[in-house]
Amino acid sequence: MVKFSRISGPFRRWFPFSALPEESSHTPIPRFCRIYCALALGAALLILICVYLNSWLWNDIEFLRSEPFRKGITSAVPLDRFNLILNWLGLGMLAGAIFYGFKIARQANLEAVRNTKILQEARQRTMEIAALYDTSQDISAQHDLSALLRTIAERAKKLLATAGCAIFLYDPERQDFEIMVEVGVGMPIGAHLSRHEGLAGRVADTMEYLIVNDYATWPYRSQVLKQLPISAALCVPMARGGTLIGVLGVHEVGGTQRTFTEAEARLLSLFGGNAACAVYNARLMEALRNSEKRFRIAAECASDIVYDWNLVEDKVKYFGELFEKSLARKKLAARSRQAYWEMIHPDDRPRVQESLKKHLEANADFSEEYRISNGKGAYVVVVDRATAIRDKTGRPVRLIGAVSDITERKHAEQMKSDFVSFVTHQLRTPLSGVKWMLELAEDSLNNPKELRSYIRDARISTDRLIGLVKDLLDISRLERGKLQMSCQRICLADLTNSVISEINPLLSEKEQTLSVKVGDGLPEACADAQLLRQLILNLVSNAVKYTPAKGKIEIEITRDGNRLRWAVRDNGIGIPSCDLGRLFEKFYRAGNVLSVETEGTGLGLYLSRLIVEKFGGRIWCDSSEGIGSTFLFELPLDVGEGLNEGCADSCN
Amino acid sequence: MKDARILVIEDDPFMRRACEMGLKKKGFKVLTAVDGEDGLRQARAGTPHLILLDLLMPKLSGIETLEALKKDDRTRNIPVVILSNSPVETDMQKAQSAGAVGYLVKASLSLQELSDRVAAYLEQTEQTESIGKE
Repeated sequence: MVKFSRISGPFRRWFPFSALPEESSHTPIPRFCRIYCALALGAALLILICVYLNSWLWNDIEFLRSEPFRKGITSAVPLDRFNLILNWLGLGMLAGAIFYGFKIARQANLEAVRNTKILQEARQRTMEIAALYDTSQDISAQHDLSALLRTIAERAKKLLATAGCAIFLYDPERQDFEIMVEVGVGMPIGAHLSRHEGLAGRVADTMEYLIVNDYATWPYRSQVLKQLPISAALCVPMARGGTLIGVLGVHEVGGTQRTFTEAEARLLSLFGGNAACAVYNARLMEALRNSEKRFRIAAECASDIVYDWNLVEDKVKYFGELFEKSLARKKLAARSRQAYWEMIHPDDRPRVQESLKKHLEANADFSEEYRISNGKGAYVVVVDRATAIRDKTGRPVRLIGAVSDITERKHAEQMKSDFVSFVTHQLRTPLSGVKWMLELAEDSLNNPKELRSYIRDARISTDRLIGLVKDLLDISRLERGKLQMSCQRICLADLTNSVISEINPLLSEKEQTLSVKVGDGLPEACADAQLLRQLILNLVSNAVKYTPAKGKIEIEITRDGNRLRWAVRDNGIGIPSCDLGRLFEKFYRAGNVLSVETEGTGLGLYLSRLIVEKFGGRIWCDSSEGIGSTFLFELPLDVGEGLNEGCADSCN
Repeated sequence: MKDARILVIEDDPFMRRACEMGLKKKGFKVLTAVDGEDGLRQARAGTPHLILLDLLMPKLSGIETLEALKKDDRTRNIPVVILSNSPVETDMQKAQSAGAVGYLVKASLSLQELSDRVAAYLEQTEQTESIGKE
């Protein structure tokens, strides 16, 4: 009817056949309608003409019956022949028109039916596509797995217009299905089916859709679902990349008879694919969240700094309490690795960078100890272990590592090695001495004077050894808190004098003078006598040792509030200021002592400190190199000042 | 070599005395020094045939003394044997690289063994020298 549509507007509106075609929402009338119209028109026209011309026909009906008419059609008057021709033509056209009319009507009807069908199918497809699209939108928007599955089930149920829908999720470890979601029927959510059981099992075995149109008589029904009044079911696998994730099924219940078709099965399969994606994605998200959580917890629990360095963009992220609290957080917040490099001690930097380079290129292990600035002007020692993450071409793109503060450990290691060198030298020297002296003694049995000297030397070495071992033991016990004190009331002045008489020989040998000044009305100290004696002896002998011949030593005992103060001052070699802070450390010897004697162990002051602290007091030193030193300690007089309670009890 | 001169550089008086007496009894002539500086002085003046050197000494350490000895033309060719109490590898290596011909650990030697080793070192040096002369 294209030609007709070109007819101008107003004419179209009343012209009966032109109104119909493309504007009609119903049935488009086929093309050969035109022929029909043409014929009908022609017929009508001709009939009109005939009626006009043959108005007398009705009067001449008898004439038609007469013989001359029948015989002489050909001999009739030309005008009559013309009329007859026209008449027959007209009738013929009319017949044709009627015949065609029926044909067209039938054709139109068929077309109408077919088009309705097509339209319906188109509508159905549109609905399905819309449903699938909505589902995939949900999948990308929602990550809550159960909510997502529920939506999918509801959509599937609506789309296929069934009574119910259920999703079974497969657990490959346990080899069974769990009913995760269910709408409409009352399936037991959370129930389990084994791998080969029931509808889900069959679908899993074949990895294809399964239609059961008469569920009641289906032989493979599972126990779990047997109770339910399912009449027909359609199940499809939810698979992703060949791996079974679960089974999606729709079903009818009760008396409703339904035959699921292959087309429906294919549609549901598409849904199944979507659902599989949904599950897979949700699982991935959860795994990712868990992994991030674990990482964060680990980073926060460890006293490490964990870092994640994007090598491509040179951006670093730091995690961990240690980072939050210290190590120049602001500096590192600059995010680029350069700031971190600059914090490393310059002597260690090349080694660390070289090692990192080797790791990134050749994948050698990266584990380095180095010093790093703590932002407050000092260095701490850390250990840095890292691993690179590479892309497909093997190029490193990320470096993930942990940095731990090992200053304590290093300190302990240093102490251990100090101890070993101490033992090696300090204990072995007197031992060798004793050994050789005795060997010499053996050879001098005929020379008593010589013999005596060797034995004497051996004895002195032995004494030294014994003293050393004793010191070590005391220190060990004090350190571990295992030393038992037997406290009593002691007069400090008396004890000091007793010590002085012991070292008198050495004093006179070095021609040194020693004076003792005691304050008035001093109370007695409360302490362990042996330890206190050791303390005083140590400090006094130090004064004697490190003061040259003819030097002067002064001891002063006073009271300072609720404490007793004991001080010894000498005019000896003094102590360099840089050593003052560490003087009371184990094995520590000031820098200038080696020039005086090599027998010092570095234990004396350490032991003194341990003893004073055990008494609840404190010990310190004032000194100027080359001028002299003063060593002082204070002892508390009552528990309030720090006196040990057990000790106080013994004194009372 | 019974009239060889041995210089003992040792700060510990007992050790020093024991070495001195022990070597003297075996027939060696012994010079003693109380520290590195003293040792250097005596080595230049007394031209000993062998030097026994302790490592841990005040002021100038054993290694420093050794280096000084090797730098000085007058003392360079005197064989130096380290007499120490430290069995630590690094110390041995340091001594060797600084030019010591031997390393003895005091605690594991008796005086007899000490003098035997000294004699051996002296002989070794003699042989090397005579080869050198040829």
